[in-house]
Amino acid sequence: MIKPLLKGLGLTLRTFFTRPVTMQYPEEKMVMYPRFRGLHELTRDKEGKIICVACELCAAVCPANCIRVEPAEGPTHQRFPKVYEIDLLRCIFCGFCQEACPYEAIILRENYETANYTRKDLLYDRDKLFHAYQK
Amino acid sequence: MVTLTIDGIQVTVPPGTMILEAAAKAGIKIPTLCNSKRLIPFGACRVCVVQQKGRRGLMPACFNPVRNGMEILTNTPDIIKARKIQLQLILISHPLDCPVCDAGGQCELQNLVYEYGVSENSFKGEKANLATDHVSPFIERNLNRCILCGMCVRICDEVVGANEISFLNRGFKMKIGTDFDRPMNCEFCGQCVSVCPVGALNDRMFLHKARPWDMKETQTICGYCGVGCTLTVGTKNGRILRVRGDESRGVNQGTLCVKGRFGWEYVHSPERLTSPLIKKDGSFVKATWEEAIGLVVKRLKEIKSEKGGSAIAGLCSPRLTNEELYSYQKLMRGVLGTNHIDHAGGYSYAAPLALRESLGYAASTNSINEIRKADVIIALRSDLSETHPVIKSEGVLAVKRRKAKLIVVNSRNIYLNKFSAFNLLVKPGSEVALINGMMQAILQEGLAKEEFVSSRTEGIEALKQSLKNYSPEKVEALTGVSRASFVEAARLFAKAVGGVILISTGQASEKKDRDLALAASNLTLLTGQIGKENAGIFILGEKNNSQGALDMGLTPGWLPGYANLGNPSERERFEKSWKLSIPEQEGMGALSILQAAEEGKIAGLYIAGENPLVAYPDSSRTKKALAAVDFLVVQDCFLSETASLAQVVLPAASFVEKDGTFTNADRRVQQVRPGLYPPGQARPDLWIFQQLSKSLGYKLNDPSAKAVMDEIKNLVPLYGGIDYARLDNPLGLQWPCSSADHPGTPFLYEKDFPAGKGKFIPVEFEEGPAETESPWFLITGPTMVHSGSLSLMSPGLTRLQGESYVQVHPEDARKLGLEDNQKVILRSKQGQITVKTLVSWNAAPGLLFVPCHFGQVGGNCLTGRDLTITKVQLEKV
Repeated sequence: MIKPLLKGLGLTLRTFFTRPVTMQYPEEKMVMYPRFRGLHELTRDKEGKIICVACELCAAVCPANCIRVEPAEGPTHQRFPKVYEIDLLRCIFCGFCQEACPYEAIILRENYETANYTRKDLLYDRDKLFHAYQK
Repeated sequence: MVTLTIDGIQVTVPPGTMILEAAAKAGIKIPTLCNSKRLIPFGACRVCVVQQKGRRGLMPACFNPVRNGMEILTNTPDIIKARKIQLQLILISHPLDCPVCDAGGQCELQNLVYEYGVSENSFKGEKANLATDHVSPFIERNLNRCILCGMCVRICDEVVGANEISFLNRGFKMKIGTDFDRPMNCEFCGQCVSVCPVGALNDRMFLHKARPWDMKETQTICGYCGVGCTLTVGTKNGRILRVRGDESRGVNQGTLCVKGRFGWEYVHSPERLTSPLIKKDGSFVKATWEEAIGLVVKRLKEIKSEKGGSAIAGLCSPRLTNEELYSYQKLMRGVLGTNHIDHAGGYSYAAPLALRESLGYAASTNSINEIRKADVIIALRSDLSETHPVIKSEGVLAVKRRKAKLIVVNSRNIYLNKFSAFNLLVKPGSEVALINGMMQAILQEGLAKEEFVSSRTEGIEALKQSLKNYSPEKVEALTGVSRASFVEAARLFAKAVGGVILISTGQASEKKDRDLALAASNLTLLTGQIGKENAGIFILGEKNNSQGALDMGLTPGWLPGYANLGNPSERERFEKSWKLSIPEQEGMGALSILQAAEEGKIAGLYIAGENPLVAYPDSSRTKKALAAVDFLVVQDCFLSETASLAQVVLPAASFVEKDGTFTNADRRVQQVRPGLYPPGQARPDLWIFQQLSKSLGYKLNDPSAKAVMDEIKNLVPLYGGIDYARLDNPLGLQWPCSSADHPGTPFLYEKDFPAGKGKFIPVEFEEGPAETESPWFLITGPTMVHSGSLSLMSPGLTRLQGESYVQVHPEDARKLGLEDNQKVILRSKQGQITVKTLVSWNAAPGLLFVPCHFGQVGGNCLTGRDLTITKVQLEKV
């Protein structure tokens, strides 16, 4: 009985002198690894325009069926997403959409702070996703 | 028959079959990018290569006919390598813009590239950089994506006959285009779009709207003309996005016209009625269904008790489904107690009823797909490219593939003449004299089928007697057609293996329609062109359910299934089944109803779907008549000209929003399936009839179209075996179909006529009224782009043709000093209109044509109710 107790206390003693792992969130924030899959961003080209062409491959591949895209014709007859919605409540952050996208128009980035008060707030529309990481 | 082995599977196919089709029969899929069963093999893509055992090299399967004992391999490593290389060669110039291409997801090239795993291309070359055509209506051409399979060029030539697009340039610079690269200006049937295997030709209305996998596709029947084309309606989020034809379904086999493919926009028109309207103090107020139906029931009950059922009348549109039409006449006859019901102004059904008199059934004798196998086709007063473009395609197939002779009998130089062997340009209204002249020529030359005439017909002596007056000289004088040409046409028809006569009905004189159909029936009986395949007479109705309206008894004198109203035992049969009583006295037709309304004898008029103010002749008198009715109820999708005169307007559903069946021009009963919900408070017509009937104290049926069809099945012997479970097939069922195991009747009178023998009923040609001082004949009719007044609500169609015009022959225009697009006044006894001119070779000298669609400036403002030849005066503004 005594022996395991001493063994446990030994571990405690050993870690007592190492640096703590716990972070003081939200004062302190973790820096995520580059391949972390957090909140999605609709990326922009050099001119700052949305890259997405609403090909709907992300919506087709999505296993949680949480992406809704509605394409439309722009003024120069180009294809653009009139509606681009991600239901974050349903999203499982698998990153398939990013993988399916032929233009790297959607990427999953470092932001994990997506908690909110209402379900509606978690239905991210095109503009919200477009400006998700804009300072 | 030829027997061959494909990948070890033995198949037996008729000689002349290509290996590709034989493989399909054996269940082996050979990939191809340039083959369609609608087209003649072309061998452009070279993807379908196969190998024959014992022979060197590969050969295209689409292009090589089968031979006995052939052993074909379709899947060896050599073949797969060849196909891969072929795909790589195609991909040299094909841009990989699949994410923005609308064909993505149903692109045949994309599928093959995926299937064969072509991930890289060792061939290098320039990509084409051609401008995209955004200008052409309905069709978007991105020629950079074109793989030069030639399907669009071929279908435009072989099936449509328009030859609008062709291969331009040679070698690397080859492309598909119009002359001088102008925007397209054709029929806009969209056949080219439907066959394009890649995204080079796109449906403009579907452009950047959705992916194919997003859409729900519903198989239904077109709601415009009487051909009854099968449509595949693609919907997403409660909106139609695209309509296409399915090659494997229906009489049309994928062919559609501009209205069918692009004319659906009216379904989503913001002007659709979404709630019942009641007129209060001269303006409409929105109401609930309870209020509206309550008011209608209250007023109709009052009228019935005060003045009797005969003060109520009904006009119904032949656009409704069979079930709705049946319920409507049951409601009017049984519940409201009036026989005053009619449809389409009473004009459209004289021809079928005439065939009933002489042959036995009031409908076309053969199936539409047999037209393409005929040898001689007479288009009798039928402007098919305008009224039934898909039937025109059948004619084009016969002419181009089988070298059939097309004989056009018309008083205008219609577009169909492009394919005709004989253009018999008759004086307006003298078609009957011409047919009689043809028969006399046949008799004189001894070309009549004596055996057929003696064994299967009666009354030949009377016919011979009456034809004595129609010597070639006299007919030449009566019709203005040269003797040589119509006698030669008669010879051709008499000697043909399969001779077909096409008559389109609609806005023509009722009396003349009957004569014309009888004359045509005499001609077919005389030459034995009836009771066999690839021959016969076709009566092509103007509206999608013209045939059904007649079958369902929407006429004053006939109960459903052509039961005679005047026959007490027939009437009793229906009364017993309905547990209602049907009034004895025969009802009035549409024109008599309007006449009676003008005289104040009609107090209540219930119009379902019709727009008499636009569609009936003599608009000003129709307006007077409608204004004189005490209580007018109109049920329609839109607040039409007629509806705006009503006291109560009930919003109805369009054809894509309801269940039911349509009967097309070859007696084919086909199922209509809903793809959408009706907007707002609009309801299917059947629901409205049932609610009204319930409030009037009689429960019509269970509230489903299927239940109504079950009732029709028991009461109408022609529809005896028609069941929703059986209708769920690509081709529908053709009546007469008497029992559940009857397979339907593709062509009538094979063994005998219902009355035993076919009757010759001689018809005499009556000349029109004496020449007045005005030199201009007026002809009104539908145009290709529009159908009734419904299609005017589709913006795409109105962009093609948005306003009324008068067609003038260039010679006349020169004499009068008229130019294109110049305003003129046309004046007749009935009224006057101001329209723009359209100088066109399609008119004939001395003859003007005005389309009948455009309300206040349409041809119906000028025509009289008797519809004898209208003469007009023309003045420049």
